Amino acid sequence: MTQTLALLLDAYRELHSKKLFWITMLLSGLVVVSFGCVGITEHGVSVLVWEIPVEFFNSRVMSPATFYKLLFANLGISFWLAWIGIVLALISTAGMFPDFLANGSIDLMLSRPIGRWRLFFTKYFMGLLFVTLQVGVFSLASMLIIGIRGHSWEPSVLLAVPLVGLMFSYLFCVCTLLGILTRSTIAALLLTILFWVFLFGLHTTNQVFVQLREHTAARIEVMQQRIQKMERGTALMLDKRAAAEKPPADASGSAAEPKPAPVTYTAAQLDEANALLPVIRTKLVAEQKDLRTWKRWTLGLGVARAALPKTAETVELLHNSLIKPQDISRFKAPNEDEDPGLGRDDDDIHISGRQMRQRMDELSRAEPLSWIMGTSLGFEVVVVLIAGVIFSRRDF
Amino acid sequence: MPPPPAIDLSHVSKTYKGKVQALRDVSIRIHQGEVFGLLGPNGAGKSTLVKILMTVIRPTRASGTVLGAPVGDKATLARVGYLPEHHKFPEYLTGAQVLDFYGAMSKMPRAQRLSRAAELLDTVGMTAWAASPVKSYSKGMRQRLGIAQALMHSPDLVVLDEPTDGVDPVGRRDIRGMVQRMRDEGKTVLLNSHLLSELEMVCDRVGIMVKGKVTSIGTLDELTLGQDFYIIEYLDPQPAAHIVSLLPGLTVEPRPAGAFAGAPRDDGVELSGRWDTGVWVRLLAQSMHVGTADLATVWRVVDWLRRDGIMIKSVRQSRPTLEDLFIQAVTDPTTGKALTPGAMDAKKVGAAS
Repeated sequence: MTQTLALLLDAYRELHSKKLFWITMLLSGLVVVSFGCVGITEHGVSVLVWEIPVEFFNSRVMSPATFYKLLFANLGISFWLAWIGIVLALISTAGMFPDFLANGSIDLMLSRPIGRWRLFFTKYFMGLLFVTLQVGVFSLASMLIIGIRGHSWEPSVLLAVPLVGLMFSYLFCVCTLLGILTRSTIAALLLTILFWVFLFGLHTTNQVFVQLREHTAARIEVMQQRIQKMERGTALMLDKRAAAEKPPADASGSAAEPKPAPVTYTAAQLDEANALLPVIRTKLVAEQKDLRTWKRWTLGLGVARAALPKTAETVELLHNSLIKPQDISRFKAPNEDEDPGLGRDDDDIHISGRQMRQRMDELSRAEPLSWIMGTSLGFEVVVVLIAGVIFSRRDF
Repeated sequence: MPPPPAIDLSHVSKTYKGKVQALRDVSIRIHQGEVFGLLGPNGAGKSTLVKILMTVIRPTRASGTVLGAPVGDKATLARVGYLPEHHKFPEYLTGAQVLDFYGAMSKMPRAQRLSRAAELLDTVGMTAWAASPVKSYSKGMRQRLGIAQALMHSPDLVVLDEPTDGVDPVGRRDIRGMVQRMRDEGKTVLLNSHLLSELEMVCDRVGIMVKGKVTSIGTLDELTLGQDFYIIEYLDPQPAAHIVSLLPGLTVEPRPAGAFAGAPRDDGVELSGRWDTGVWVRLLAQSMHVGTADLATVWRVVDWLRRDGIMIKSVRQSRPTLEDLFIQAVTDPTTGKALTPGAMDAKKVGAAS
């Protein structure tokens, strides 16, 4: 325990000595203060004493609490903590292991009555302290802002601490492994950022493919509905035509004659009767073919991403836990009715941006926690174990 | 019954991944309470051996004990103090914080750490700098702080790797005093240094390592046993051939390896020879070296010289210094040239054997 406390104190002193730690803390404070300066009114958004009228963004569309939560989730977490904050944290902690392993420094640590594995894990978890402290302070201050300004106390905001911490840990484990392998801060930092960019690229590609898949699926659904509607209409038209062509029955026997059974038409009969039906059916087949292609691609990417950490999805978990669909159900952005621009707008089948957002949001919320966290933590465990084995077996 | 040795190593070998054989079957025993000096040229394996003791390097093969526990036992390190060569303390810590941190890492309770740190800072003359960050320290101050951290947890065994490296003469004297105090307190000290004069002044025993092997080990007296010789200095230069003619029974022949091992190098030696009794002589223009500690033999030689009218300026006894022993150890006996520094290539060793 004495050794663990000493390492904890040392990690704090190391952070304390880094200017970047305090710069990040100061910037976090500024972000929180700027949250406090922004508000939502009946007519739009207020900044300090000034009011900016926004038609689609005011307290009639969403509550102040939702507004602050949106600010916290979209700017505070997704932008500030999950991007800039993480980059600053990586810069601050990338040198932790290379410095620790430097000649003359590691000798002093390894020659103590402490096992290499314990030393490694303690040091590793101390590295996570940077982000934990930063996010902790930021989240607590944001919770106060949401409580005071939005009149809603949201302890779920504090979920940012473990979730952003986890996201950082996926990158920090890579940074640690690279730091141990190369013993170079610059190499560890640059390669980790490269890995992060790779993850981001993979995630973005996957999102694009999923969006294309869902767009195609939505078009297929609309087409199928349209075909059903057209088939019903065509059948009715054929029924009417048949009824008109049928000779009139005897006046004496008409009362006793049973009602004729409804006629079932074949697709060919319907297509013959309605020239638009074969056209839309051909389009449907083409869309179904496209859907199978997108499904193959998303499956392939899913398999490729299975073994990798889900940084973006981990942050989305926080977003999803903070913002419920009903919170923003009345919110409608000005261009939401437009097609999201995914192509295939050569016909009158229209999938709006709002529809796509809802679909993607549902998919994001339906993604199992065990998949996001399990695979990411699995990756982290493997990387940390590899780093630990190298550390414990290396000669210094 | 004698106390068990502080360090008792046998068959320690280390071959690095690049197939460099740093240690070759090293066996060494260091007694409790003694100051033991480990010396050798660069790449001899001294630091590797020390790092194996401190679990910084894993041996390829090793057996033996450190303070009664098997080599590599982590718990035992709570009783061992270590100052690595080129040590590097966290720059953001102050001197007092360094001692507190490393004391805690050696499992010292907080209350003890505070008082011990103050005491040691005073001992190493760093009290005034206790609250200053390490980054503001000079090399000598860092070295003093390094010794203090090695002693922080009152270890039974202290391993100092180049403790006087970069330290001025006054600092060296102070460090020497500290080592002597450690011995007085009953601690065992393993001193690894290039500064042979330093070792000579404080070490009870020394071990010389060359190319991954301990070539000689013992007290200075033991190591120089049989290597005493006398220098007879003439007033005027004398031709070597003439001197040979004055020494009855002397056979002129080249000096074999080992004879006059501790004497200065052969620069200026004109001739050398040997009597049947096994006593060797070296003849120089201004003096002659008689390879014996037997004074009677020396006076007989002096008499032969004086009988011919040669004026004797001085007769003095000489014994090899640690430096002489070191030079002797790192000199190839066949060629008389210094051995190539560095460790052995495992492939070459294999081929040679």
